Amino acid sequence: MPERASSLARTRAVPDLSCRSCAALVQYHAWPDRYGEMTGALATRCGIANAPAAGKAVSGAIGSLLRIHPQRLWLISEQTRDHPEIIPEIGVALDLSHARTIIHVAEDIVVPLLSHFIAIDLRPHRFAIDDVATTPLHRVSVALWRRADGIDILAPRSFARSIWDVLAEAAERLRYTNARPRAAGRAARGCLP
Amino acid sequence: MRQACAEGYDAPELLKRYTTLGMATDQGRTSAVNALALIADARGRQLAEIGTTTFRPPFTPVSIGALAGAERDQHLLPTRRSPMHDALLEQGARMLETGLWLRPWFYPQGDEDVDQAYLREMHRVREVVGICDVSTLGKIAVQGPDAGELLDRVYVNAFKSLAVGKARYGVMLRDDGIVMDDGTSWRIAEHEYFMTTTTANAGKVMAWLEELLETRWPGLRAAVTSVTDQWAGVSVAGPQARALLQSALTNVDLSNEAFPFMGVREGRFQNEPCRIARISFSGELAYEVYVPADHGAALWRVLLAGATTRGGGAYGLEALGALRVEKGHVGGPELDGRATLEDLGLGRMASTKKPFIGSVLRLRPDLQRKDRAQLVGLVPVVRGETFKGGSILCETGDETGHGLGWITSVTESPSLGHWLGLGLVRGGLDAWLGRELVASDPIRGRVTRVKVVAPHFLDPEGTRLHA
Repeated sequence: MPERASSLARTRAVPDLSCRSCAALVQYHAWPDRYGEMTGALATRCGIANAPAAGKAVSGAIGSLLRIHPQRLWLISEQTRDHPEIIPEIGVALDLSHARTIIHVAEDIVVPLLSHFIAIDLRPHRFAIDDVATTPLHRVSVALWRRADGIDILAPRSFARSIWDVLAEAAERLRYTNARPRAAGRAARGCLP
Repeated sequence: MRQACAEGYDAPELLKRYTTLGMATDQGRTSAVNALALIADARGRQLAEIGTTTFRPPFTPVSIGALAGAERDQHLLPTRRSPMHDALLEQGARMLETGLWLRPWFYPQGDEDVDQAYLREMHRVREVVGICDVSTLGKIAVQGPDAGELLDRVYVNAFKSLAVGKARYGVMLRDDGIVMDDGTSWRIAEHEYFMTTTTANAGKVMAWLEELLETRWPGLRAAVTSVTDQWAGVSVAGPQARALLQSALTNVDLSNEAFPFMGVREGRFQNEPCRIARISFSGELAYEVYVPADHGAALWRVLLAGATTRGGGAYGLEALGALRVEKGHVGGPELDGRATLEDLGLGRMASTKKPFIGSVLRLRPDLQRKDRAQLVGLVPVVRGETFKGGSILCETGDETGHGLGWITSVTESPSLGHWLGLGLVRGGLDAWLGRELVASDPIRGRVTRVKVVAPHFLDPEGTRLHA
């Protein structure tokens, strides 16, 4: 197998941002009148009781299904490249495993960081675990997926480094602005007469 | 104006909206007072009694430069990077912004500037072998039982009949019959095509296909998905392209018999699947090979090492463009949103057996005129002379006004030993083949005598690409 180079291989490391790897990302597209059949078949193959509703993700034995479009599901698997096939009368499958880079934002900074870029209320009670949304970020269409430990940003590979750079810069500024008032406050109290 | 007043639209704001007078390029700056005078006349009032429309800024002329602002950094725009980006930089590539993409412009050796480097790179491709990162080309997966039908409707030529394992060059038109984009589409499987578009128009074509499927033909069982980011692509071109590629790939027979021109095959790169098409932008024996994007850098390094061993190397965007000019292929400068199929010499591609987008309106009389600006080749009459892209083509002795056409693309040709160019001139080859024109460059104060020739400068029989 040839060397696999991440699109984020040469980015600067930043606490709270990381690259999450996945073995497979497969898109399933159903013909307009066959969506129910497709999701039923996929849910069974993935060991999932019910396919995800719009804007939701559901996890099963071989990966997670994300509803990212009225006619489309994404299957994301961290363990295996194997994925179920579907018959052309129902829909089509497409391998996008290399087309997306997953940038993980740690839970602690999800809201303060991504609020600078995204007009979605990402507070946990509004955008809960396994909620999914498609939104522009740095002028690029990305998918967001709330996980237990933060948010995964599924970004087009060619834009990933650019998105990482603006997030990293904002994350550093965030730490700086969060840290400074406390230091300044202590220093100020020490100077009081 | 008088008719509008007679119909009751005799107040400035009403008349402006009814007639649209004052909404064009002058924004009322010159037309408004004249219009108000006409209203006053029609109503038998004094001009001062009529009033004006609401004036909005800018109140005085503003230069376009002031509106555009200074060229500075990225203007908060994202940057797109090819999967080979770091490998290209390691090699010393000078990058060029093309849209949002960073693409390798040329690979200087020593103190070479772009003009020296691209000629050396062209020479390598013509004589040995060159490799070029083509990952930025738009790539769209077209899938489903009606995928061929969709392509038949958007391309001027037929794709439903294309055999699995074959590629075909296609051109698509806008609704109004003007050329929109071109590229090759490969039939990967019975229900799957791999469409490529120009880098510049990738987003536009993708949005266009989605719009067509969602609004005009929702009943088609076809899905389109951008896979530009899924695949890394390398063009391998030159007399030793076959040998170089064969050394890097397995499970594929690249011989002329097993893999003819416009063929598509699947092979293996270090045991991972890859897609290969035998297509040529340069006119040389050439292939495009695509691997999943994360393997792009590995493929690049292997091919570069092999090319270097053979005396070849990488070539950049400047050489890529120059090679296609030598071959006479149309590109972005010719597909300028005004040209028709006939203007570009591609009229015979249009199918007469099926309708397609633009097939009706392309036949409007004005688009079928014989005196439209049409594609020609140009060479300097005095072979040592040069000319610039954008120059105006005029009749000798009449270098004024808009002339008869313009030059779209130029290059120095190391193969032919002189400059050459493509242009669009009124009447095209039928009117001007073998005759002289003047390339006028009024900004630089230069005038060059040029001869009109066929646009296929190099190997018009296609011997090289069929080698």
